[in-house]
Amino acid sequence: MPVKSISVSGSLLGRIPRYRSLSALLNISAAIIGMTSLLLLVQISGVASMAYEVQRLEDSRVSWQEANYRAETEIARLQSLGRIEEEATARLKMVPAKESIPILLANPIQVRTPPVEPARSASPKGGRAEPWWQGLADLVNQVRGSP
Amino acid sequence: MREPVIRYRRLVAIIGLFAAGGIALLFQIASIQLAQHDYYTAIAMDEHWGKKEDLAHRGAIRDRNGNPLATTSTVYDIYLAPGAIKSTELLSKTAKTVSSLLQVPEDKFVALHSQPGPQAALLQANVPYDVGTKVTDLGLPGIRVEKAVRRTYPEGNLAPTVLGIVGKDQKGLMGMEAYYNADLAGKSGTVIYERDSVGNEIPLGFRERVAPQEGADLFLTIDRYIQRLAEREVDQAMKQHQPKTATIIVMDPKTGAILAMASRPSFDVTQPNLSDASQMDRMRNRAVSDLYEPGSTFKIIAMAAALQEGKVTPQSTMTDKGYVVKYGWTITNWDGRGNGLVNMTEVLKYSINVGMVWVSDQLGPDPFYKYVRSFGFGQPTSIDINGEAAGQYRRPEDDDWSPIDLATNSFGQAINVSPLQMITAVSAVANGGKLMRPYLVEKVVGPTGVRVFRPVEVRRVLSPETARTLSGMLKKVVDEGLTKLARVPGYDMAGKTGTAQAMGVGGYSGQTIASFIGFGPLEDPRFIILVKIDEPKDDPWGSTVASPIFRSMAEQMLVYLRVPPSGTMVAAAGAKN
Repeated sequence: MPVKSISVSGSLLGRIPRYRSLSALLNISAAIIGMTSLLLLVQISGVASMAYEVQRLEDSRVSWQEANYRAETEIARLQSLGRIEEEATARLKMVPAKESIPILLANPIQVRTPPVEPARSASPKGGRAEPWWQGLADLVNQVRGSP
Repeated sequence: MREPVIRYRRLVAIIGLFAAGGIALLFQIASIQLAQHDYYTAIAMDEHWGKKEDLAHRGAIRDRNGNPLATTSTVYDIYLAPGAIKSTELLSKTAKTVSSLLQVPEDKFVALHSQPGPQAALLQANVPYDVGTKVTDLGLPGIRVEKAVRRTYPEGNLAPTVLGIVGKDQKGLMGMEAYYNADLAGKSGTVIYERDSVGNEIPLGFRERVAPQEGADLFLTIDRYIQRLAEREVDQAMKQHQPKTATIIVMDPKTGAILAMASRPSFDVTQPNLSDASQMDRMRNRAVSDLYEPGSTFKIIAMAAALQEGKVTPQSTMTDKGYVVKYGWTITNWDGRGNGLVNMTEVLKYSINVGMVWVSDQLGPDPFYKYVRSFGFGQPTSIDINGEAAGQYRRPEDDDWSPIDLATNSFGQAINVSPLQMITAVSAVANGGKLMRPYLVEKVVGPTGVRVFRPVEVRRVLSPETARTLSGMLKKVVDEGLTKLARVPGYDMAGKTGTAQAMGVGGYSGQTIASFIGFGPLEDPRFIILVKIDEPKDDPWGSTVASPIFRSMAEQMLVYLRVPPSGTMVAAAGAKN
């Protein structure tokens, strides 16, 4: 028996036999749904892993900040007058000067000043720049909405 | 016929019951959904959303050069839940692991584990951050790790009464910690998260973190080196003279910036004990809160007033018989001896009480008290620290004032001042006549910006000429005075000794307050130092007890501040770097 075709001229679907068209339609739909689901899955997975990454970076930032504070305290302890005096007298066997002789130089020597340690909270010139991960965190929050 | 009727009634009754139940349920639903909507929403939100406070890092307190005096560090407190580990083998293994990380011997660990009661035992407090995180990561059974923040003091117990302390909640309780708590504390942040029915955070749930705003750093006017010198000198004075208290203040006379402030007895800021009442007394900042009779150091103020009013000049003379009778009271000199014809410089040089009574007579009560007020006595200086005393004295308008008060006030009796008021007033002589407001904080550096505190001139109290004249007179006091123990070779210093009678119960105790106030170098004063030794046991005089402390401080500070002495050899510098 010859296959009847839908007589809708000019239409691509019209030229496909009915049972074939139904099957193709189903296949195409399944493919679209599958692709969409896959895309959604990839996106959700991406967002989730990004959320984890943000959290990890946040924890890492806190940890580095803690390390920074500890380093600063340790520097301060090492530079404390008590420790310097202890090192000077006990280890290096130094003694306080009995007499100081000031000499004023007519042409003072230009001493290279050591680099100044930045204060912990001092704002850099031109205001504080936003950390790079801040934009990422804002983006994730925007995507996920708020409670 | 009866049966269907009964059936019908039963049916109606059942329907009625169901209807009543339904209506009751509807009411209940309406009550929950509408009337108590907010209440249940709050419960549901509370059940579903967790909220944690994210504490802000407390700012550091630094000296004027940025050296940290107090910082905050994160530590851990580690607890053990008794009886939590059931297996003996696991207990022994955990004890071994813990003892290798913490300062807890294995047997102590086992003993703590076997103690009765549900109360968790503190294994070790203030565990360093890296060790604490290691213990956390191990996830040992029965071990609870709690994060905590503690104030640490890199310079040790330096300036304890200035820095102050914080409570366990990290709120300032006294000193700078309390006065600038709002700046130091910062703003806590929050973490909002979705949680499960047990209360744990859902791994992929919603999480929002409002980051805390870290506290600002305080930059004090205190110089750690000068503070250390002052602390060392007060400790030495306490050992040598065994006084009740000892206080040293160092100030920049041009700005009012406090460079050092030390007093004894004091407390250990690294280990404060708030439960001990005697410690509480030691926590007082005696430099600002204790009052005393300044004695002869106050002669500077009376002489300044008389010079400024043109009532006397350094060359004005009077005859000192060693005593004077005023309003039925006999006032004598400190040694009871007369000095004959003396000028005003000699009145200061030999600290002649009778001469100062003569000066106050030339001046009269109204101008005298006008200057006492103008120099800031009887009112707080408004320094940026809590607990400042205003001081007190009788004024002519007071009912209990009598003319004898004018005479005694002129040489520093019957007037109570704080050490801070005294040094602030004499600073005006050193800096050319301006009364500056003393201050302890130079700037506050926070994440949102920098707040700088500029020196504040309260008022002009003397003309530059008067200040210069009086400074010259005070230089002669140091150079040609009775003991000359305040002289610093190579430098021109100015100052005045004071030996006041100490107050006891119901009057003077027979003890003294030995003091010295001086500044230098005269041509460009870099510092002013007040030394106050309260009731020294070995020697009562300011000239022999307090003057040497001034000299010792001044000598070391001049080297530290790189002030060349007069007549310094000038050498040609090396040409190369």
